[in-house]
Amino acid sequence: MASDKPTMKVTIVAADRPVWNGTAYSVVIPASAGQMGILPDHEPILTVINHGTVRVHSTSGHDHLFTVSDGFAAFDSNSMTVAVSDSSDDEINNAGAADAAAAEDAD
Amino acid sequence: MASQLAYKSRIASTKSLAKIFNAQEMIASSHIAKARDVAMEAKPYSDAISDALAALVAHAKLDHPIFKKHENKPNHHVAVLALTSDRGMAGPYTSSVLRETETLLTRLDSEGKIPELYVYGRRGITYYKYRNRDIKATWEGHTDEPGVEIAEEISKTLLDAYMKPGEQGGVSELYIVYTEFINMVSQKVRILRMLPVQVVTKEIDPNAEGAQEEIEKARDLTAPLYSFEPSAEEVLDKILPKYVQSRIHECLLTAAASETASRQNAMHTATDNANSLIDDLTRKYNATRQASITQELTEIIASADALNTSEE
Repeated sequence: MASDKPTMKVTIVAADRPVWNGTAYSVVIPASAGQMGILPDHEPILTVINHGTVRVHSTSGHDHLFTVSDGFAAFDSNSMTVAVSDSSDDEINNAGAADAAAAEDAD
Repeated sequence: MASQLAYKSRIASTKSLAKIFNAQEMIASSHIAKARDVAMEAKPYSDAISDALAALVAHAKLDHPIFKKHENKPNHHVAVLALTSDRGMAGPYTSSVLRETETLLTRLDSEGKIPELYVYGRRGITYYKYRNRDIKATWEGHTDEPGVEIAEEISKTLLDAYMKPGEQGGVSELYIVYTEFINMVSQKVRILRMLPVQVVTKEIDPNAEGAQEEIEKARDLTAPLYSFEPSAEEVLDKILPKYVQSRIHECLLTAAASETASRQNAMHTATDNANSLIDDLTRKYNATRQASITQELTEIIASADALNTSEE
């Protein structure tokens, strides 16, 4: 069940506004060395991120996509902070949600 | 005593001024709510940056020019950024910033430093241009609602100046003169030494007793062993300019809120003054009107008396 999966807190902030926050199962960020997936209870990490897409697989079952400019991401005590100069608004990827639902069914 | 007509026209013009002041006051009070919102919106970002920087400070041996500039020979050039307003009608807002800036410039001069002036806000620019002072760079527009773009522009220019070695016209320090928003009725002009950066992670007064221990404690708390991608130095390189930018943005925002509050206060006082002036003028107008009536009556009675006397 969904509730058994570990989750983490995610906060995405742009320079002029908070963009999104909530809980998620995983986050994929465009780190300096390429795409980097972060799962709950990851070791504390501070990384530079490049222009690209942040994908948040949230506990609501949706995939949230954000196009972000450069910035950085920090993860510690099970809370992820993505701080970028600029970010697009939340785009919910329903295809991702369908995948997630399928995955859950498979579980 | 001035004529009734003169009083009437003065009352009319004061009334229309009062209307303008009142409108300005209302505009300012609607802006201030917005300015406060903007400042709140920007807070999470600057918090995130401060936290990240705190983690870096705890982890890495900091040897970045932003903390301490290494130069072959001492560089006496320092940059001073004054945040003023674009428009007037804000009471003493710009003039107190300028006064503080002058004091700072004199102080720096007496310390043997060579201050270079950077000005934000049309009022400040006009002030210095009129006095034929050298200004390194100016920015204007949107002092009452500064966006991220202008903060980026300012911090880029200033960081460039800071990062350049002294021989190429670089500066060794950066001061910002801005107005801190304390509450609606009080704003205070402050001087902040922005560069080199002094990192105090929490609001700890470094002079207070036991502050060192607290700083140490804060350091222990925020020191889960982070791993840095790609490396601590590169992360630092990336984050520090952003930190400076967000601090400058913070200064711009609190200055904007102060400007609006100061404008609201000034306009409130102006409306009050205009109203008391109108009361005063109306009283005088009534007095002149009464005087002319009395005079007319006296004349009629006197002439009637004269007629009666001549008839007898």
